Amino acid sequence: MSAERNFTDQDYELLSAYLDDALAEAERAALETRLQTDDRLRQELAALQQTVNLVRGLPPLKAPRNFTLTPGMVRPRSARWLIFPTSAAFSAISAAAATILILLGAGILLLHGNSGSAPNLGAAEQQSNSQIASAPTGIPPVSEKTAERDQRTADETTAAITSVSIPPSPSAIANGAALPEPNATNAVQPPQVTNQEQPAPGTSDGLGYTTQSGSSQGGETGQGQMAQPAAPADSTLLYAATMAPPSVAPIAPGAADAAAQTGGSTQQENNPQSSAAAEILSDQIAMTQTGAQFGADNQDTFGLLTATMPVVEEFAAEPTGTPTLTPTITATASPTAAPTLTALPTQTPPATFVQTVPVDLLTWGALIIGLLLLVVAVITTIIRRRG
Amino acid sequence: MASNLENEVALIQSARRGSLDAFNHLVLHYQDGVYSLAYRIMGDSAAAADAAQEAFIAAFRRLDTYRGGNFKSWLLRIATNACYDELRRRKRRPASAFDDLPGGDSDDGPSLVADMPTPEQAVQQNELNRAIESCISALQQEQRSILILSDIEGLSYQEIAAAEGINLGTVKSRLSRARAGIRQCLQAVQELLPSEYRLKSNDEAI
Repeated sequence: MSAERNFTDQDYELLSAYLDDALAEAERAALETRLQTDDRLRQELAALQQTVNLVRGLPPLKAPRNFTLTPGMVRPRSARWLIFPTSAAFSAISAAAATILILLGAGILLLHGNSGSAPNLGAAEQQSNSQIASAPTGIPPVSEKTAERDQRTADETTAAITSVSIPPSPSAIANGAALPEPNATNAVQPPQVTNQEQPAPGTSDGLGYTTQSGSSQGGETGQGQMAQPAAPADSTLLYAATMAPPSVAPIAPGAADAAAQTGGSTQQENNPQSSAAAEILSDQIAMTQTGAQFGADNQDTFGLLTATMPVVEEFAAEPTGTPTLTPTITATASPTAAPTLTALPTQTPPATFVQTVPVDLLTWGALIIGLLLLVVAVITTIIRRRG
Repeated sequence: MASNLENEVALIQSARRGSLDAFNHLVLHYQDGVYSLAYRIMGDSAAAADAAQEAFIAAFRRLDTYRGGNFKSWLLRIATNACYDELRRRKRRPASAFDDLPGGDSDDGPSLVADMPTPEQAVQQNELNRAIESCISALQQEQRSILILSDIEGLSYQEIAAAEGINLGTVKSRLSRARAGIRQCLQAVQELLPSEYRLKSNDEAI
């Protein structure tokens, strides 16, 4: 064995690989040259070959029994305590569903900062979007959809709204049609509204204030103006919802501001109102309101707005968001809206609640269910990996 | 071990779709090889049978990880891991080189496929085989599995590298050391070997 000292581990690796014909051509050639001149190396190779032959000569063993599988052997272990499958497909579907639900829920929350109004807006948006899209001015479209929203929102906002809604009285009445009785006020009254488009101008008064605070009801009084603002708000809201309007501040000058303010106020508290206003607006606004009219309206509104400012301020932040739309909307909507609002709130309250609550539930439900599905996907993946 | 199944690919596909019957055809075809591997790694019939059964169960569950190629080497890789798991579970150290030498009573050894020519030859061959198996059992676990996969199961270096998750250089060096260890072990017990199998020492050779 002493001779082995002359050989390195490297040499034995070469010999071993040589037996398996696993050397590169150059290595093999070099080794064969050495073997020709080195007897002891050749001897090592022979001994190694003999060893390998002995091992390779071991007789194959026969399995003592069959190892065929039965269904019971391969039943997923997890199935014993999990009520859901652990297949890769299930994990993938769970993960995908979780992602969608979480993004959906998060998206709604992000788009509509205020959870409370968010739902309403969402509904309104859908409607309004379609309308808006169609109508350049934006005003007309809003009305219909808005109305719906308003109804929904109305309930929620009731308090705030009430104040807003009240305004309708003068103008609303004047305008028309069925405007809910201006004074009737907050509460429910005349539903649908009449919406006479322009009631606003006429009515517009400072009355709006009353409403602002949420006191609501100032309602009956000259809320015409208020109503207008509200209407704009609606439209704005709608836009905002749809567009998720960031900026906003830019709102048009006077009218815009007013609108913004009103809109803001409305949005926060009165989304519903707005919707009501929207309805009205839609009905009436659509009919009329040209740019000029709008301008006029805006001015009127403006006045009203100013009056209402206090209220507006509260909402200021939000209103801004809708700027772009606001101007237009304001003009149009404002007049009409006021009346409508009044009416709508009353009418729709129930509806609002119903829809509002569900939306919130859907939002958070989506988030929660999404998270649960995510956990399920992770658990099933872990189980499968271990299995 | 028999040559590849003619319809091996089709059987694998069916098994992947959940057909236990198709997989059991594969089991019957490869069970001797898997059991041989397990027995030589475990050094114990009962433990080898348990490991082989676990290997087939694991293989069926992980069929989706089979990416084509040599199915036998993929199966033996799973079997090798099953053996390691079983060894860890039993916390059983491999039998030392001489525990199971002829005359020992710790294990009657596996049943052999080969027919025994004559009683005398059978005894000699049996003793030789048990000596070799004992020497294999005495190797370090990492060297043992490489030696078995190469010289008993007949896998190529590339297949072993894939099965063990190591590179070719490591396969070569471990196999070389394993063979050197077997050689040294057998020389130590060569008096038990038939003369024609006795390894010559270098001194003798010279």
